[in-house]
Amino acid sequence: MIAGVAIVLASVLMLSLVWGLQHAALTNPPLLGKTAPRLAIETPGGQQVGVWQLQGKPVVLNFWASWCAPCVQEMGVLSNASSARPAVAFVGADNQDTTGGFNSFEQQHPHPYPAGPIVIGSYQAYGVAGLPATFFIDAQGRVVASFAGPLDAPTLDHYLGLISP
Amino acid sequence: MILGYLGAGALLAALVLGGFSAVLSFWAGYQENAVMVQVGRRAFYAAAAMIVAAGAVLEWALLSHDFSLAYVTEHTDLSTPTALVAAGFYGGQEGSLLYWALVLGLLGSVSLVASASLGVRLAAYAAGLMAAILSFFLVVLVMVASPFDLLSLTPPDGLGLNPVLRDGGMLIHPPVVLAGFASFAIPFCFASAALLAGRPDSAWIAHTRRFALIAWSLQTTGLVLGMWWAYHVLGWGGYWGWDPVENVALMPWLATTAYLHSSQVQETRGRLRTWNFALVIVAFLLVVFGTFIVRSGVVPSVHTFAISAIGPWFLGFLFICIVFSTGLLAVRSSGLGGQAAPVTPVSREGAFVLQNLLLIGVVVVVLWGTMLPLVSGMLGQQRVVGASYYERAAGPLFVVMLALMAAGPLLPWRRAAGLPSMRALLWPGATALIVLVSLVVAGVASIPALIALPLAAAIAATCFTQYARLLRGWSRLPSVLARRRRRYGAYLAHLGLAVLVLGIGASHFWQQEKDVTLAAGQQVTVGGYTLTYVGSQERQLADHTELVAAMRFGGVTLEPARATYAGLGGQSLTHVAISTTPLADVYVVLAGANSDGSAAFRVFVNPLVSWIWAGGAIIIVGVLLGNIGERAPALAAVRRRVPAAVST
Repeated sequence: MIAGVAIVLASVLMLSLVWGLQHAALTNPPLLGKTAPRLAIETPGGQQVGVWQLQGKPVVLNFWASWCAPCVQEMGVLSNASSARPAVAFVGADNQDTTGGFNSFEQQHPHPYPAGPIVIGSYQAYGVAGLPATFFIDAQGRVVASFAGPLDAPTLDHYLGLISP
Repeated sequence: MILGYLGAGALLAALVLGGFSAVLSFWAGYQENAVMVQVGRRAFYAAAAMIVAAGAVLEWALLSHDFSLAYVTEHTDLSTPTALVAAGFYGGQEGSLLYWALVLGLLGSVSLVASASLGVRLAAYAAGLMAAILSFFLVVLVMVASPFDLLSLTPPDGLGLNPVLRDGGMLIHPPVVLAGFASFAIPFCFASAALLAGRPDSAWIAHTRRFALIAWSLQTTGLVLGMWWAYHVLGWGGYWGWDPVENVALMPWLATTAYLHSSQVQETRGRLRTWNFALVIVAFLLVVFGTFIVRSGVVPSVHTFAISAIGPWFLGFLFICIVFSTGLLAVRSSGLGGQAAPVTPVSREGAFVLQNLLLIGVVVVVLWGTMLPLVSGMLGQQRVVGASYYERAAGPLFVVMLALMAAGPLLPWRRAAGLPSMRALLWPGATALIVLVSLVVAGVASIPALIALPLAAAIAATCFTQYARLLRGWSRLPSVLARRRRRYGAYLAHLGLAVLVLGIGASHFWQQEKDVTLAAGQQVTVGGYTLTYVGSQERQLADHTELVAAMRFGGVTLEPARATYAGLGGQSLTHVAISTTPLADVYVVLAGANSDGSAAFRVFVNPLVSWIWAGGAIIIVGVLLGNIGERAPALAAVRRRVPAAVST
């Protein structure tokens, strides 16, 4: 009985590790031109926003954190662009953050698009190595471009032009 | 370039010697050929010496900036301060594997020197297992991840160390935690050798316990240093994020904590034999699992090494280790004797058993949280859990453990006979009550705080009552201390843990933070502490530029800064400024500066964080005072107390 349970548990462990190895960033080819990996965030209101559920709309997926100063800098640029372009869905994926840090950030820097911690998927699936990082996904759910570092308005406009003519 | 050949040659020689030692030791152990066993052991020493030589060559290459070696180029540059260049040894994947092999070789040699008294066969199998594990690391080092790979062209400068690692913490945390990881292999080898040799009596416990204690102490130090480093460097105001890499370092520590307690039940009462073997084996399996997790990049983490091809190798190694050790335990456990009467629930051993179950419960909780992204990913939708999962799932287990720490040491072995033990609980109970009432009067409403903090105080009270009893009989003090040194060292470690828990509790429940933008001369008050922003300036240092803000806090000037590393593609990094008072840390992060001279800050007030570091130090002092220089008294005592149940 104990041996049986142990064998089942060890098999699940090994299988999931093998699966993990196959899906590690190492074997993940660059995302450009590929379907965006599944990722969802949960807003402070408890609403889950999945990138794949926004299909039909181009998506700007921004990885950030409340402790990351360049992320805070670019937040204004993203907010303005989001207000100016209602046809594009903006999503803020909060990374490695404290709940307190996230909440106080949300209070002090209100923005028109949903943001929150990642609840489905991971930043690693996108190959994010540093914050901020932004991915531009077209209406068909394909990753068209990515940008590492803080965006300014002209750069953001350039990339938005690629996903929403 | 010549250094590359020298290092690679030394590693190859170590591999040949390690493989030879493994094969010879197993054969000689099987034949009980004492001379050949000795030869096998010496081959292990020689392999260790070759690894030392390879390590010296790598260090030499780093310090002499030999950029013909890919490893030196990838992890250092000419502007990196010398101490950090030296620390580049373990700063990357390949070098840290070499460091691991080095620790295993050296500590393994020490453990083998002292192993002859355990009997020819047991000592031989232990040497064989250790050599086999060492050989695995050497195969990886020689074939997959060599720190001595040469570049076809020698670049004029290297790429440099990741800016986050350019910190004093780099000099202490990684070597200690890596040494901790490596040293868990030694208890595993002796426990498995005892099973293989059919000598599952208690002799191995005494030998193993010392090395388990070394591994545990290194891991305790490594974990606390890691918390300290994260707190001082990362700038999010916390010290523990339930990151997968923190989790995998915590799990073997928990399993070994369980073993260090349950081994006393075996030493004193001859029970829990299979359980003790299982704990030592599980601790090592968790180490291998953790190594795979950290080094293969399967789970997202801030610690992940540059991804390399060693993942499948470690997965194979984990598989072999699981099959070997569980198979061994399954085959041999029937001979371990479960004939002893069941443990009385309200007794010292009962408390140890419950504590063990709770610790393993926490391991299961942490393991599940760490594995969830993989298990759920395999089933189609990847999920991750955050800190709240760990706090909710493991928190109640920790609370019961704290209560047990307050009461357990007061319970006698075998049976708690009613009243006396109730009287013993008076002081810790009263202390907990006083703290609880004080907290309620002070307006604390958080239930977890109202449970955890009084319990931590009760643990401290328990330790103090034990020391008070010791001091009352002061005339017999030296002899009692000499006889029961381990116990009084353990009380000190418990006291350290109580201090640590108070620090974690206070900083967790009462942390305050505020985001502000200040013009020069403006003030901010957080948690009763007032800071004045003076102004900011830019500084040029050897390898980076720094924007430094000055904040007056009482008589000191805090200087939070943002560093930008031009040589590393403009990567920037925050430098936290911390002012420690006995009651709280004032922790200032510079978020950015504006063109009008104003600057944005995040200010935290973290109560009692320094108690965490102090608690960690007290734990280590307690373990050292209780155990250093002890000449295997347990071994003799065990033989006296518990007749060996030899089953071959």
